[in-house]
Amino acid sequence: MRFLLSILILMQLLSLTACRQGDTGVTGQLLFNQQPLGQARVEFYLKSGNERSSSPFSVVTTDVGGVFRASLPPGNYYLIGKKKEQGGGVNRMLMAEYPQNPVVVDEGFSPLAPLELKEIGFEGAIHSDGQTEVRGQLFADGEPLPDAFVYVYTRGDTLTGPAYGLIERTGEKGYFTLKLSAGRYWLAARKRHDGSRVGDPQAGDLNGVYPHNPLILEAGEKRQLRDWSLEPVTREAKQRRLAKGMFTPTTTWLSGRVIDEDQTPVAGIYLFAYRDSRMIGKPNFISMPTDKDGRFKIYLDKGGEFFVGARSTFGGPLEPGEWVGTYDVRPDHGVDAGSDQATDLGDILVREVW
Amino acid sequence: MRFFLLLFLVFLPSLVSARVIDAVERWSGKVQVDEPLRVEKGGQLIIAPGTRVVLSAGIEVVGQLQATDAEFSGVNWPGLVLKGTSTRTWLKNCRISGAQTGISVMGGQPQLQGLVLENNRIGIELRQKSKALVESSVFRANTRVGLFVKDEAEATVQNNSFTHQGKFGAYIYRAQPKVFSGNRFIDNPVGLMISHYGSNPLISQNLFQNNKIGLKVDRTARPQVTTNRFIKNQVGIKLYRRSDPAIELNRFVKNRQAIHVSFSSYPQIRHNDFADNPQAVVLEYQSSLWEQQKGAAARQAQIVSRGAFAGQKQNQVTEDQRRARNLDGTVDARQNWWGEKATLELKSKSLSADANLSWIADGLDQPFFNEAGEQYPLDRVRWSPFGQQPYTTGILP
Repeated sequence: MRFLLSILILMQLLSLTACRQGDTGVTGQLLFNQQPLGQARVEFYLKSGNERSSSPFSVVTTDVGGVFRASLPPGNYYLIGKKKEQGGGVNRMLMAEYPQNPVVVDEGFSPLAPLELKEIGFEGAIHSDGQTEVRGQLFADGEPLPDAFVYVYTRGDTLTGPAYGLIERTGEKGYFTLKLSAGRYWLAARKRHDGSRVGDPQAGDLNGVYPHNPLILEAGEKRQLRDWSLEPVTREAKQRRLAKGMFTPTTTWLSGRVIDEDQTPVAGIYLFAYRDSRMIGKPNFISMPTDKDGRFKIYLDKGGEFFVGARSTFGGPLEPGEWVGTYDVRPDHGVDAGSDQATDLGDILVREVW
Repeated sequence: MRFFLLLFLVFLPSLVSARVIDAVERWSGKVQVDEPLRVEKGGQLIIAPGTRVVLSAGIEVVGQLQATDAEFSGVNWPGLVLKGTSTRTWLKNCRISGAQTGISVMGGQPQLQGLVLENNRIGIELRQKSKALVESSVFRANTRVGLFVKDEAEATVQNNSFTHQGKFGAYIYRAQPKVFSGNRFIDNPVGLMISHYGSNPLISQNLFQNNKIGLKVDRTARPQVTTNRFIKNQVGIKLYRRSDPAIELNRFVKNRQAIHVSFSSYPQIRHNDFADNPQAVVLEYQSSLWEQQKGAAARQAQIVSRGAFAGQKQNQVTEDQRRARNLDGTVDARQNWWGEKATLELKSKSLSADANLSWIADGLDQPFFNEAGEQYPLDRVRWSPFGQQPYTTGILP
């Protein structure tokens, strides 16, 4: 029996080596904003999600037309397109997994559907060239405002949440200095009553967007901003925002229960649903904290594939004592949610980080 | 009408439903809190001595809370949250038990004095540059941490007692308390933990006794540890993963290991007194060569693997901030007093600076250690010149 098995393995190996690598593979094209994306990486992995090794099996680069051609031996591959772009003082990462993964390589070269990459948050902080800087002073009610936070964004569509590239605290008399480089920036500032850097502003907190956004800086420029006043968030404004916000019930949601290693429900845990499998940056949807039975609901705008994680806080690095966990039925923490449906995730296990 | 409402609250065991306090409210007797309660800015909750508050929900205070000789208890209740409160918020001689976090302090300067924090998951957590005062309080049998000082908190922590916590008596994480002095850490797995770059507090006049580890310093923290007493701990001070504290004018008595140095930690150990410690300084997995060759790469790998959901980089501290400055293969422990017997031996034998001392375990005892099939030379302790007499007499009791 053992001998027969050896023969079979040997025959399999011989058939693999008989098939020359250059004869089979895939071709395709990467896009960004529906334009061809040149000089991007196309990575092929043998495994998906958590099983993926740190190094891809093969990597090719797209040409100026965004086209790639990869020679691969027959088999199944998980394709990821990536491009790191630097410019204007900002690093941005474009990335996407091929939706029809795994790609099956069988005979000859198979053409793949074009793959549109997405920007997935900011890779690292905004770069300072050491020369370019912006100075300003924050006020509230006519008085200089110390210990407020100024947030620098590189996109103007959403000036909230942790997608900022730089954060600076104002000094004793409300002054701040932002060390940047040439580029286009949007500024927002907040002072929360509890002193926190991140989190949803509450009624009474101070909030404001720089009225002369965007700020377009040239290399080496030293810009003095006009005085900038923050206004308190009113209870009515807060309610209006909440009514439009991600906690508003919809007809599509993910639900489940958070438990610890002793199977005990854990209260006070936030659930995060990302569209991006890397689960970084600002989550697309957040639950209210779990109740005393560990129950949660994440309301979604519509169905689709989401990647789900759980933490006892949000924003910033993991801290000792924090609870953290992921939805682990699939190794990539993903789940397919149907539109206008409730999708039960079952139990999500969290553990303490020390 | 308001008077009658006040009477109702004061004299009846009350079920406080979800509501907001935005004026002055006084509690006494027994109060049951089953729905979240928020003391708004401008609101004031005054709790009279002898009040017993039983909670299954939390109390969030943005305005003022004043409680003296009161008791807050429950089963796994969320705890008190003090958000940006002034010195006009205080708790004095209160007992807080059964909470997830007894008191969470988010910024502000609340005054927390003479408290007993018992059987909570975490006794007190200080965050967001809080300048709270935590004084003369007892932290006992909290299942994880007695006192957490996080997030650049600048608190004053003095004359407290930490006993029998589940993991750590106190934990300073990316914070620099203004005062951390006069505290007693007894019978804890780790008395005091100081972790991460940016945690450089002055730790002085504290007592660490009968702990498994008295003080643990980890991940590039650089506290100044001075005028403390370390008595009968399994390990007095454990330095781990690039931790370079200044250890000066402390007294180490009857610890199994007084100072344990590992994983590229390079402290300055000066003017301390060591008495009756079987091992005064121990080096383990500590090699300048390893640090030169692999230190930066090992730290980078660790950073990448510690994202919240295993995918997020956290490059908040640069390698330049983490790296060791002087890698000459030695750990500096000059000018210490090694105890009467040891000093007599040093004097009588006129030992040279490279002599192998019985109370020091270093590269002279174990020249190499193995990692991933490679051998790395274990560093040595520079102990000469040594102190001729105790340094802490007259300074420490």
